[in-house]
Amino acid sequence: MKRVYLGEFEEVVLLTIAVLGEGAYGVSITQEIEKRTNRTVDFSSVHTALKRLEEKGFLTSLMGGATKERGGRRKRFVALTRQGYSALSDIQEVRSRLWALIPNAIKLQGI
Amino acid sequence: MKNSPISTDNNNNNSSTPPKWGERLLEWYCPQGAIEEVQGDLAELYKYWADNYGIREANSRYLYSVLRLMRPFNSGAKINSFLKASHIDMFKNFLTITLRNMVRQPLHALLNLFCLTIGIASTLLIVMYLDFELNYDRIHTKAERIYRIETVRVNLKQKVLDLDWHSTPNNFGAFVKQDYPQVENYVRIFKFFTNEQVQFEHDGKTIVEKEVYAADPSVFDVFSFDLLSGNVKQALHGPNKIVLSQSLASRLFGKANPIGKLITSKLAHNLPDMKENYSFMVTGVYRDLPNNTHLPLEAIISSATDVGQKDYYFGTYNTFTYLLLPAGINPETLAPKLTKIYDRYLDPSREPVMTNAIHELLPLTAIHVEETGGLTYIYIFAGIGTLLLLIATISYVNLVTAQASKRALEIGIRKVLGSRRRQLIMQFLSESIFFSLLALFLALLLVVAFLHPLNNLLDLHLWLAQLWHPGLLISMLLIIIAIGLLGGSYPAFFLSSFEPISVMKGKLAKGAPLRRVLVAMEFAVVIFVLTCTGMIYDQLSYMRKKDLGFDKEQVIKLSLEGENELQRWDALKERLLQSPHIVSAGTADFLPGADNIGEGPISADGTPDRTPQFARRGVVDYDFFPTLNIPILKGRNFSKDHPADLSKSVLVNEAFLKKFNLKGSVGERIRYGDKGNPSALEIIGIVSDFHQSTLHSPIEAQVFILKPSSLNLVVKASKDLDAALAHVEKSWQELIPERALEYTFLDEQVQSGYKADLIRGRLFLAFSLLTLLISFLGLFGLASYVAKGRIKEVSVRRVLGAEKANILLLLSKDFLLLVVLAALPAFALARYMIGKWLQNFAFRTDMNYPLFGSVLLFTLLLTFLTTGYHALQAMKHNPAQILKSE
Repeated sequence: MKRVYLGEFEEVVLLTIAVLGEGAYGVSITQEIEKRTNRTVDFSSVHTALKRLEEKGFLTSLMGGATKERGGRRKRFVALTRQGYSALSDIQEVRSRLWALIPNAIKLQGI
Repeated sequence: MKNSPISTDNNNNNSSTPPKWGERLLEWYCPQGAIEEVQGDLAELYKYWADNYGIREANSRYLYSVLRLMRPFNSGAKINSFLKASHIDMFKNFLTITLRNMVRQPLHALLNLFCLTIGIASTLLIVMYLDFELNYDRIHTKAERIYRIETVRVNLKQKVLDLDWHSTPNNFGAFVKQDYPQVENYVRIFKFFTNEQVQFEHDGKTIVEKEVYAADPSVFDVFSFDLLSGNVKQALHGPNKIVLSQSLASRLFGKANPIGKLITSKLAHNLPDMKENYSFMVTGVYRDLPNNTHLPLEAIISSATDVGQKDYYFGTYNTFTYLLLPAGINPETLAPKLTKIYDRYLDPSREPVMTNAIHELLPLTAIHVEETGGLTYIYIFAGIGTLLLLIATISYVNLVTAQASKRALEIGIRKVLGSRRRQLIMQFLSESIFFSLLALFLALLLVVAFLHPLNNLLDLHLWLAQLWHPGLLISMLLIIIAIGLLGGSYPAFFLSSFEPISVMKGKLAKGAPLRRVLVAMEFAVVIFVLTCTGMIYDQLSYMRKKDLGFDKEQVIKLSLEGENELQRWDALKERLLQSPHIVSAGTADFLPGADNIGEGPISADGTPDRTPQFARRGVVDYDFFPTLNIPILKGRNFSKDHPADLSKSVLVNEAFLKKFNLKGSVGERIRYGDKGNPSALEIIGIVSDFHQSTLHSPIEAQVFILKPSSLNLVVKASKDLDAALAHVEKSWQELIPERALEYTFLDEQVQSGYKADLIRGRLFLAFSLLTLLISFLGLFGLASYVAKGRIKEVSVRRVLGAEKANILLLLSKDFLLLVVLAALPAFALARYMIGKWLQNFAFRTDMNYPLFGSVLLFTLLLTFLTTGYHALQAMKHNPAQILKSE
């Protein structure tokens, strides 16, 4: 299978979805990223990233039921696909392998 | 969906809702499949922001997110296909139809575009020209407060002289500043030398420049010269300093730093017996002035350099004086007070002729317009611009309606399918606006492409950056849209009024008197402009052909400056005459046709009260009149056989005799100045009148005195001009090797006095060709429309046996009648306007009525050809084919 490129921000979004497990949707993802990474995240970027990730097949989505909140509008919940999960672990594996190759001296000095 | 209660209360959990407009904006572009979740997510975030940061912050974050969600290129086609059906769709469809129509009928589309583009492009150029003309001298930041003192009347002891001198006495400015403390500053700009061109020398390199003036240090305070190097405070203080324009500095010094360098020059002072050799230190360089300034200074000499100033006194009007007034001072109340200065300071015993003068203050920004014929030309050009746009619009309307028959089916179908009339009107209006915007774009391209050649052809100095002016751009856009609306509204209302059934059957509405009025207007404009152009060219050729009273062909003019130099003319003259190619050579301190003859008061003993009157005073040598073939009518020319001629004799022209009303002629005595002057001059001959200046001005009274050599050397060449020139060059190099030879031909010099007229003539010619082209394109469209509308009638007539010629006439008759009707007001207006224009010339051609006739005939012929072409097209069809459907 062709490897699909995953951008840094997309990776963060994907990881956050994995962290949140059930109940991940636009707002919760945005706020979770802000909380965990201390960076301001723009909702529209998250929205775009979700759409792309879904197009790439890393996500599935499902419309939730209507509630009284948010003016009665439904949420679109997202969840990791198997493909999304393996993409994340691939990245992790590549990184650990590379880490292992860094000489100890450098690691200690922290450059 | 959006039914939650609206509240700005932010402590309540459920009530913070995003602003309505934001949600609308989202709906407008957001894909339908995603709108709900996005709106929901954003509403939730909005509430969160509102709770944590307040409503204002929430609003701005919300707006930011909404805008960021607009990603036209990211969303791809998938989203577009979900676009809500809206007005955008309708306009997109209109655009598609417009483009399809353009592709299907490229010729018609091109004609439409051509009309509008040419109209807009020429209007743009006119706007640029007007902008250039009206913004003269605006480079100076204080321009609004700068005034030049004009002299409109000089009161002599016995006489009043009305004139329009731009100058004042040299000492005048200082008195004004001293007596009227409200005057903030003044500056004198003047020439204290007679050289027409100044030759500067540095390190063996010489250059020649015309625009050299002396000025006070305050020139940098009053005007806004951008001094690139040098010190504003000191640059012009003290004698023998000079400040150069950037271009002059680089001509003389190349890339080297000119500051502190010495340049030398020979200047012939206005007053006799003054020093001739000057050496200037360069103390500053300023950025070149733009072309639209009335004072194109290239080099400024410090005024202290002129040591003759104290001797000028009040009688020497050689100085341009500019005043800087504080804002709020009314120049019209100050100007009359200036006359008092003469009463206070003028010592009658020192000034024999003049008592005082009346001045006016001319705003700096008005000087150029005033000096080039006032606002009349500005109005004329603005009028022409408007006319061109009008004609282009009319033609456009006619072309569009002419093509209506092709669109009729489309309109019918649209109507049947339920298009409302309003939508059809919208369609044609948007089409028209699209066209006019496209035309604007093309017109801008045209302007960019043709600006340079046009500048060369018409001797203009327009530059593209002029268009880069927000006010201009916006008003241009508005005007273009207005044209689009105006041009589109007639076809829009006209076409949309069609009855679907009759339209689809091929019947078109007839009549439309409005269009006839429009066409008549076009004809009137065409006839008017053609007649004016014809008359302008008439006058131009009259001026070219008019006998000026002297030979201007085959005459070469050389000049030398400086008293000492003049002695070298003798040697040169002698040398020149050795060649068989040189017929004769003579010198004078003026040049006929060039308007550079000084004037002064003269009194004649033969007049009853011997009142001095102004007359031109020229200096000639023995050979000047024979060289230019100016006949001596009575008496004799100066002659070497009469040594007294050098001091006691004078020649006068016929106009002089008339002005002074002298009964006798040869033998009369005159005096320079008033009758008190002890040295009388005897008139020994009467010179035939010749034109001293351009034909704008009358021939003036002139006296001629004798001096063996003066400024200008005129050389009459034989037939072989090239050989004569070669000889002139050779002799010059042998005798005056250190100076570069500069020569002009007298006929060219004379012609240069008509440059402005020539340019205006060319402009008018260009405009008339454009109006002709555009309006006949419109007529072409209209004629085709009319011919198509009457095709059945034509067919019936042919079946019944009508002659081709009769049908031709039948279809053209209406238009020909319109031409004749339009001609009447057009001729009346042209006659009036040209009559006014001709008043500018003291010598003018008569109103050329045959020209009027030929313009009318020409227009009739063109109209007949245009309409006849379509009539012939209509007759090409087989009548049976046309009539079978009925």
